[in-house]
Amino acid sequence: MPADRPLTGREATLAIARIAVTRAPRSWALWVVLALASLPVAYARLILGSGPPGAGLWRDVFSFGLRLLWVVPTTMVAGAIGDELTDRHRSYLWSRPLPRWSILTGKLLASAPLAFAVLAGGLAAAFALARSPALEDPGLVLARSLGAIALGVIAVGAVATAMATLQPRFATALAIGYMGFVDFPLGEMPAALRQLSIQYQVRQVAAVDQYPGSTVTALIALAVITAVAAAVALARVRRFE
Amino acid sequence: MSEATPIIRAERCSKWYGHILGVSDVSWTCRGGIVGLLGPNGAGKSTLMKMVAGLLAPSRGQLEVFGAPPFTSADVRRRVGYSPEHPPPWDELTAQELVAAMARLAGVPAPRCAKAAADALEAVGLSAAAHRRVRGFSQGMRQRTKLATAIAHEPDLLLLDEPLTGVDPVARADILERIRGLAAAGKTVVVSSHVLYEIESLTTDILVVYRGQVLAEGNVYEIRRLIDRHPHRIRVECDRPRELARVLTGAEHVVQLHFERGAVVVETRDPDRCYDEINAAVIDASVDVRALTSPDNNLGAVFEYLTGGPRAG
Repeated sequence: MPADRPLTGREATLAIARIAVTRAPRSWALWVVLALASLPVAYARLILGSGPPGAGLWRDVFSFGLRLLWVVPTTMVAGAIGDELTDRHRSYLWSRPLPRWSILTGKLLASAPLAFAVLAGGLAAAFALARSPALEDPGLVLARSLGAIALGVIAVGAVATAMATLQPRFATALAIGYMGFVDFPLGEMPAALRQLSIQYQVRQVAAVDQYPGSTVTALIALAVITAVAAAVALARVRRFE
Repeated sequence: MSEATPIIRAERCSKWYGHILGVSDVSWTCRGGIVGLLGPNGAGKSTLMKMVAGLLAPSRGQLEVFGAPPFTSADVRRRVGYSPEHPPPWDELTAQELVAAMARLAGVPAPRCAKAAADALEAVGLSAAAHRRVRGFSQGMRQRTKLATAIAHEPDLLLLDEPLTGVDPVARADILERIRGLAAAGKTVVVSSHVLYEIESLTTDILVVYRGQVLAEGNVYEIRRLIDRHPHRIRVECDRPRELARVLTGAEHVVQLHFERGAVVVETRDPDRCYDEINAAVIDASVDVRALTSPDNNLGAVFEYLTGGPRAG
């Protein structure tokens, strides 16, 4: 059954994604993040236990859930890509006739939607508990929140991919560290530096930040952060030996 | 590619990892058959294989496989099957899933991957375990799985890096037989090992790599000619090795004598004369000879000579 021709980038991306999807339910990472995704529900229950839902409850729960951006996409993306860039996996993958970038895009294609589904599931369940009767259009609030999370997952996925190409063996730790110790403090800064924070921009898109800003600016900022991280990852993977 | 184009052609290839030298100034032409890459651990065999497989680009020099550089040519890599020294990846998958995935990534059309994987697993004797996860495999089964991932897309050139590491004797014999079968089917096979008899049992066409350099290339007997300046060794297994040694001591051509269990090993600069004198001594001193071998016909001795090992002159 000889190989007819090398795979195109699109074919290779889909083949890598298919393998990643087959492997995902058999690895520990998915079960850990599924457990973590239930935390917003637990948090909402905890707050509801102390009184009726107020107008700001969803903002609190969403902000809490946003912390999962530190862990869920980073674990799923950085871990998966970092693995493929270790000597062991690279020996098998890179001796195949594939465009190298397809390994990154294939992994992202499989893990980013999965990370979003996990986070969205947890937040939607928490929303069902925590939504206040005072909310005018709950459907729109939830849709905006989940849209913001989707963009956040893409941006964090790109950053995690870049981290994985910089240091494959410690990719997950590095990506979580970045989100917790760089991105989070940046987002809390009052100065213009917070524009560089993914978490700040996601709050803006979701319209839950206590100091509302421009959604368009937030969208552009997320696009720029994603593009820069993706450029770093692609440049690194091209030079990787 | 014309008929005359070599399968592998390396011309003054070097590879550095930062300041660390992987291989240095390697020139080598491979035209087919089974070639053994022989050298101790860290000699540069894996680096050379990785360059041929297209994983690494040479830092200097030229490397062509099927007439094109493998690092940049996907079409060349499609024709290469590489079984690295590392264990198989994605061991949560079953052997069938893993080999099918690897076949797909090598360019086998998606609808044909399952069949390609089943055929490859059958060829390496793993059909019965095809639907078990690789994570639960023994070392021997993992080596077979690696071989299956390398052959599933029916490459023209197979690169097997230490394919017998950690394998038990029964599996070893079986894998060796399968490698011979692949070569008989027309594949070019490059096998690396640091164990001399593994290579010797597969081929006489070897490339001796040491400290990143090719120390010698060619048939084991040609290599032997390269080291003619070194004494020839003859091992005589007999009932009274000390008596035989006493007779040979003092002969002008004898360089050294030493004893092994039930045997005397003679190093001589004139093998023909030495054989005559051993025959004479056997008759005169009534020594009962059980076996007479020349370890120099074994790759081990050649390797020791070439690498300046303990027996080097």
